[in-house]
Amino acid sequence: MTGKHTGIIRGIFRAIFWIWLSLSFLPGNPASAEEKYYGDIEKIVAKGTIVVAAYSNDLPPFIFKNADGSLGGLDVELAQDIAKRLGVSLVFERPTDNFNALADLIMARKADVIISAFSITPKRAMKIHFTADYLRLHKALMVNRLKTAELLENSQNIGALNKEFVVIGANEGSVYADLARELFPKATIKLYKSHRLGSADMLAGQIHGYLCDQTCADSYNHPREWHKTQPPANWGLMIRTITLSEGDDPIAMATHYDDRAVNAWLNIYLSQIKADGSLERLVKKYID
Amino acid sequence: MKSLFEKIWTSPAFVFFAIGSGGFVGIVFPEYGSQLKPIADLYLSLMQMIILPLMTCAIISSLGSALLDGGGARLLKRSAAIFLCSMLAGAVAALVCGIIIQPGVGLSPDAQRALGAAMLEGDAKQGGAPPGLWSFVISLFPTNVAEAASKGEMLGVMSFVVLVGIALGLLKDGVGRPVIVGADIILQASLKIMHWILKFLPLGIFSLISVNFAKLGINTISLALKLLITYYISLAAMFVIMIVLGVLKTKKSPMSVLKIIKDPLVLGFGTQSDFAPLALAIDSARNMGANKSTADLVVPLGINLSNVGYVMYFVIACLFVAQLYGKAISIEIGAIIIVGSILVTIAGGEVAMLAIALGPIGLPAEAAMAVLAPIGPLIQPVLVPINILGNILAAVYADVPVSSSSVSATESLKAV
Repeated sequence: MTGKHTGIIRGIFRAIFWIWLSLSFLPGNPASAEEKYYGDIEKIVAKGTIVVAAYSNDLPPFIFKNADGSLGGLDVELAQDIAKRLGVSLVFERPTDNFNALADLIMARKADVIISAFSITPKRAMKIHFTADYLRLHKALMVNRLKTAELLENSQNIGALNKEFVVIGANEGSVYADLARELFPKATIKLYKSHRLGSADMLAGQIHGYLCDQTCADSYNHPREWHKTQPPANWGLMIRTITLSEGDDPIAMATHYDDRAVNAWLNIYLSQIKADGSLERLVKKYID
Repeated sequence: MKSLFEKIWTSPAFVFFAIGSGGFVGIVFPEYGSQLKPIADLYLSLMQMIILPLMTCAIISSLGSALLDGGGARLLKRSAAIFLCSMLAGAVAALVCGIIIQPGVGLSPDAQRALGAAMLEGDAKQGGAPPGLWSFVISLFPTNVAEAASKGEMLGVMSFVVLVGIALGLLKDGVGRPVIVGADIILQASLKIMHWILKFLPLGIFSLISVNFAKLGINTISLALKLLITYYISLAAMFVIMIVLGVLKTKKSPMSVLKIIKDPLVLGFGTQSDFAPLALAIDSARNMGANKSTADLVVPLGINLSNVGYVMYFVIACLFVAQLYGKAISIEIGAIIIVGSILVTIAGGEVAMLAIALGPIGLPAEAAMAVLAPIGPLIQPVLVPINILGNILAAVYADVPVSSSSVSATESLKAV
């Protein structure tokens, strides 16, 4: 072999080395630019963003604005982790303060996934594809102690509140609006746009009780740093929380029924963070 | 002839010295105070060991012999009337004090938050429904008396022995008399054992009080200081009224009345138990002039059913809650509070049962539970002596001036 040939071969190797080196520094994609993923996952990776649908108001400890304007909360951290693992950026879509309407966003393809303290219900499952649950919340009934003392007599027998003159509040479009109608068929059910409005009415004695999940009750009973408004001094004197014994509220993510691969991937992701304890740590940080 | 040691050991001054030094050790050296727990527990167990035979035999023998010799029904009716009157008097006194001092008015935001937090904590712990009046009626008739006795459910045992005493007294031709006499003999033996135990009273009182005082949380006092003051003032007023009533009935000087009642009250203060001073209370009632069978019957019944101190405790707690929530005390509300507090006392005195009184006036019983949990231990030592004194007086006032019933069962057997 001549020296000329050796030079050409060396040049080819050098070129291959530089091409490999420059490719490996390409931004964003963990593997090569050529790598393809399955159908609906590929769509998300190709557009470079995942759109997460969430409730528009602050919903501590799941999603809320920090003092610096950034978003924080259990669901926000989950969404950020998912985006990071998919190698895409994260966009929140929060146009509605009605939980049921979040499902319509997925149907209309305005978002890829719901991550928003979203309860599994058969009715919602007629529209959207739930993942496995990642959290089970206790159901709670907050009651005005004075309005209910005579009816409850210090017991937890909430059936005593099923009376024509009783008014029970719940968040509009949430599972608790349906639960209120189911538990208190004789009572008047008043629906509120936010927990804040409902709890204010309850404290003022306008309604007897307010049905929500335990984290909502805890946000008033044991406020943490992310609850911007502290409850008034007489909160504990006036409001009692009864944790309902029957049935927890399962919380899950949800996708479009056509996005089966995304849904399957989310289930694998959830089982992994359950197994390695990172979900438990996250729940401990925000809820326990 | 008593030795000098015996004279000092048994002198009233030494008992008060034991109370004072026990309190001092408990508050200033709580760690040493709590180390005395084994001695305190032993002394309390010794006391409680004798209560069941003492109470059952006292009721059976006194009720049986009163019925045998006539006047039994009258005695029971009179006792019931006196129990009701004494509880009513205590309730009214507490109501007046509570309305004047207003313990629940003007709580600071910090105190409101602390009380609210305690209520929320209580809500989270609470399970099931609180005991109601019906559960009390059921507890009066236990399916198994031995089981009720072993669980310390005294109300069930009491209603059983009352029935036994009545039945024995009503048996034809007085055939129940030997059993009634037997009960009286066991009663006397129990009293003897009790007096042996009482030889160690200064030691027992010292250890009991130092243990109890070591447990007290002083920081909770500041939150409900006004409530504590209301309790102490009303209980002190009741004590004075009772001493006056004792003086009026016995025609003795206040000092000699105090001397007669001192021992059971001190023991009640130290043990915080209504039952532990039972034997001494029966003794005091006899020494105050009540005849034997009246004292033997009324004091044990009263300790189970009629405790003036507890009625006052509940009335003031209800008033506190009413004032806390800005409820005006009308005559109707006052009456509901009084009746409810008396019912709760008769039914065994659980704070959770105050829903009976507070529910109908639209107030949460949780508030009473939350405020009484921390300050209860500071009031209990004072409540028990009021209960005991009330029952000693009830025996003195219930005395039926019938000559035959003043003869004890043993004496009447001798006569046979």
